[in-house]
Amino acid sequence: MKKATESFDFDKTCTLAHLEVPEDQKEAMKKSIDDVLGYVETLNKLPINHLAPSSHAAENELYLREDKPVKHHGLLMDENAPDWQEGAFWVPQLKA
Amino acid sequence: MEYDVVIGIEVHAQLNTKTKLFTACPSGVSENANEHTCPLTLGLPGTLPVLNKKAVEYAVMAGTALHCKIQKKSVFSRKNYFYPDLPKGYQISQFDLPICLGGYVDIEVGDSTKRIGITRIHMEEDAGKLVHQGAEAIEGSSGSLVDLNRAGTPLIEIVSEPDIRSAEEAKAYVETLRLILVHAGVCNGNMQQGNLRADINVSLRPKGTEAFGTRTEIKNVNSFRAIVRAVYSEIERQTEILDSGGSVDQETRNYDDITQSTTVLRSKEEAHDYRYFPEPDLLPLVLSDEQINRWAGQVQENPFEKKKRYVKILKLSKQDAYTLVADVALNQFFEQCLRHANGVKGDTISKWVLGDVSKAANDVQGFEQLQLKPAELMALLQAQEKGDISGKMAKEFLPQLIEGKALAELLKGGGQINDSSELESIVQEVMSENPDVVEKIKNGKHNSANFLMGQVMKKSQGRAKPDAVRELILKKANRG
Amino acid sequence: MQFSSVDELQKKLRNRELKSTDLVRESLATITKQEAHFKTSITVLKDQALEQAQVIDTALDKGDDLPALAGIPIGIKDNICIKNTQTTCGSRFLEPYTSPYNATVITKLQKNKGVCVSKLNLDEFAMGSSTENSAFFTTPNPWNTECVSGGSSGGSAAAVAAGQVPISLGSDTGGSIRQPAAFCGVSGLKPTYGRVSRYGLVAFASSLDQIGPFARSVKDLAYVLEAICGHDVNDATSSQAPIQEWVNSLATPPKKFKIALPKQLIGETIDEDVKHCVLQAVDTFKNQGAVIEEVDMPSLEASIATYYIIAPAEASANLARFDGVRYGRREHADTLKDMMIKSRSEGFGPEVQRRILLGTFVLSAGYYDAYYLKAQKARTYIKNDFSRIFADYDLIMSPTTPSVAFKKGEKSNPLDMYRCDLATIPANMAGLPALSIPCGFSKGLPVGLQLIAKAFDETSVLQAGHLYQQLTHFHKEIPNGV
Repeated sequence: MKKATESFDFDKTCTLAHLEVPEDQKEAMKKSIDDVLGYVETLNKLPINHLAPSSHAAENELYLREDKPVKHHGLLMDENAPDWQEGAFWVPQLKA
Repeated sequence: MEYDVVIGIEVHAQLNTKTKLFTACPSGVSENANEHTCPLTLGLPGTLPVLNKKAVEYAVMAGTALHCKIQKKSVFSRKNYFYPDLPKGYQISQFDLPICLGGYVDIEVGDSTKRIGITRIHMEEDAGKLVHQGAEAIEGSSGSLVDLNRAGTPLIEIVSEPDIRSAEEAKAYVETLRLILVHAGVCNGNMQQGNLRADINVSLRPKGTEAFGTRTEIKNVNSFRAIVRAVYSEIERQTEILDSGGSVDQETRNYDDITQSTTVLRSKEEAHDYRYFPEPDLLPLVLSDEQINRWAGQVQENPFEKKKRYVKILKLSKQDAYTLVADVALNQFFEQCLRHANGVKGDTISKWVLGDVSKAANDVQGFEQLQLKPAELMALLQAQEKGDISGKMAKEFLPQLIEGKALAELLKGGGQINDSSELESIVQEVMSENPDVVEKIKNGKHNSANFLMGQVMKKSQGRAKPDAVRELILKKANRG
Repeated sequence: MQFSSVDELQKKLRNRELKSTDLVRESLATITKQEAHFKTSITVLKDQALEQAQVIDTALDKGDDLPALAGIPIGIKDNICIKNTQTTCGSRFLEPYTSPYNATVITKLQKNKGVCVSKLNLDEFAMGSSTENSAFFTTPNPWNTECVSGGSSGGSAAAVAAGQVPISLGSDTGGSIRQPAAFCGVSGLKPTYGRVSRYGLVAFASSLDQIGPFARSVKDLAYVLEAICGHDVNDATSSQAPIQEWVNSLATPPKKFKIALPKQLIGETIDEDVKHCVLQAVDTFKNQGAVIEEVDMPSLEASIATYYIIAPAEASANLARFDGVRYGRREHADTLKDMMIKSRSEGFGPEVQRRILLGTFVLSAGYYDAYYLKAQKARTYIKNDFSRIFADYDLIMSPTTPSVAFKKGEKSNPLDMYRCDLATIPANMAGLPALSIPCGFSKGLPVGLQLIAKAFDETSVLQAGHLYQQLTHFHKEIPNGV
């Protein structure tokens, strides 16, 4: 396993997460994440390699829905939208 | 240098469900933007996906039609990336455990048949649409409008093996795939509307070598013609690079049908890190054998096999056989006709269905709208076969059948003779052939006129007006 | 009527000694009066609450037979959506957002004629243990306003402790109901995962989140649980398991419980005072014939590490929808990407950003197996450990928290804060029902006792908790100055 504290690429992770941490807070933020990543290394000592991973609390049967349309009203799209134009959500240009 | 072309295709097909993949809001196009939305489609906080059973049914049917192994357990994952047409910031898609694995499609190119392997089919949700303002495309646009009508529409992504070797094979593959899906009733197959979309992976390798070259993925290819053009343009581009000693970059390219060329959309460096992980809001999809069999059992003979049957058993030409399967509604009509054939030959039925009936169907926007029962058409053709009516009359009766007139009525007197001299000559003919019956009438046995009437009706193929015939016979008999 | 039980209120409302409108008015007045020294509410639903109460009074006047919660004021954690009402999740990002739909629990409370009076404070997006991560204010502890109320459902716990409402709803991802319940000296239940629909609960970590009630007694918790539980067609993870009559189940004396006491949860990391209170509770149960044995559950020590991979990973995806496109905060920028980045960076506080970054990293290419997959295996390990214990025992008992409520600003290191979740996180990992009830005091602050049962056995935790409350008075204590 790669050592997290050595390999954690803060800027790349910010880009993936679409977040920008101000310069003066970067170091502290990075360190606090490094601390947690260091702490979770304790999992490496557990006898768990043979176990199946759990994605859910319990593996119940998945509920499936019938294909019957329901019309929704009062969605407040225009009220909640930061910029509502011609019945759609306006966003600035995709590329600079 | 000479190169082998290696092509693999990913086809995205929208499923024909009434509602979206994970919410009960209506699927399908709408005139107004953001009309087919609901809290989940808008990605509102607190909403949760609930899987559409019909979409699973259709995915199983598609897999069955493409000879795949349907997986008893499949898992939905989140594919994470930011884009304004993706309201949740992730797409729910099947990743490492898809619903179908390992199938194939037989395609015909020229006179030979080739089998193209299918790696997998997985289910996922479609994204919304962006309308770019102030420009045709993203480039130069001042901003975009987000319309989420399409967001969440159920898709299946069908991934082929890299078995395709030419632009023509690529086209044939997508055509055949489309036909199979449309026949199975799981997809509308309208490429212009984006109902069926193909991403094409193209690479070259020196002729005779085994190792694959670096591939590029071409997106935005939305017609059969565009498939051929896009592949040709990409082969040409890669050949030039390789011939000049360069190397092809692994990248995603966008096809422009106007310039008929591809441009870079995303380089390998820009490739997303999608951070897939199992969707915690949905438990694994587990299907019983019983359920899989029930859904798989709904899949009929696929159009490729049907076509072979038409050529082999019905002795139709390859071209006619293809035309008979190319349109699903037409094919359903034809199959119904075959069921009511009652001795009428396949090629006769085919001639009618592809001829006059198709023409009539075109006038009303296709076979779905055509007001003609296959059984009635067959009764008409049977009448012709028996010699009750002539071919010419059958042709004349067809529009009237479509208008809703009953065939029995038409046979009785619908096509009446209005020309009195024509009628008179038939009556005269019959009377000359039966002088003894004429004699009986003269002697007052008016009922005997019925026999002559029958003969006239037969000769006139039912087109004579019975009252007029009777009047004419009595008049002539008593006069002569 | 402050500090009355649901039973008392119900009786008085039915024989018309008390009007729902008066009860709601009293609740609203208490909220306003206490605003200066301990603020719990982000939004007060004054007009709609009074309107609803009026309708209920009319029905009660006519002698209609209404459900148990009819006319009773309820506080709602502000990450649960109420139609046409602001739902902030304690975040600047969602400050401008109005929910156009009701969470399923709200629909169910409305069917039960409960009256929602306030949207309660929380750590931003339920990420935190003190409400200090709320973008708006910190809710102090009613027992000592220098201390925190706990979190993330601190507002929900404090509102009940301070007598603003008799019952409230919170959500629990790693202890966010039980820990503030313990800190504020009230009862709090995290039901089995899937027992209560999550539809309309703004997701933090989807495989761990569960809505549950706060109240001043276990019996009142049972009333609320009956009202809000059940399968929901809008939540594919909600369970179709049969619903129990929990309130009635409390009337019959429970069996002699066999209770496990994991040594990992009463070890040296636990305050002496807290340990003392829990051991006294052990004696109380023993005197009632319970068999209590210390057990070894080695997996529990792995739960914090497991949690701080799984929860941030899920959160990083759950919070990706907050992109400034369709609702919420939008910061202006020339390009789309900059708009998204600015809106998120300005809209989210540092703890939320930390967890998103952590979650993004553990899922990123090349690290998935080392972190996320490993954590999922550790989750199986924890689940298996519980299964082993529940083969022999009815309940697992422990302190809810290692110490009583800490002072505001005292825990500045995130990891130190995370370590306090040792006892509460395991139940979320395995999706088990878990209860926290008051079991004593240390330095004037309440101590919480936690009871965990096997999945869908809320009956056992509620029966045991109710039994304990029949024999003790801790849950009846009221903080000074409220």
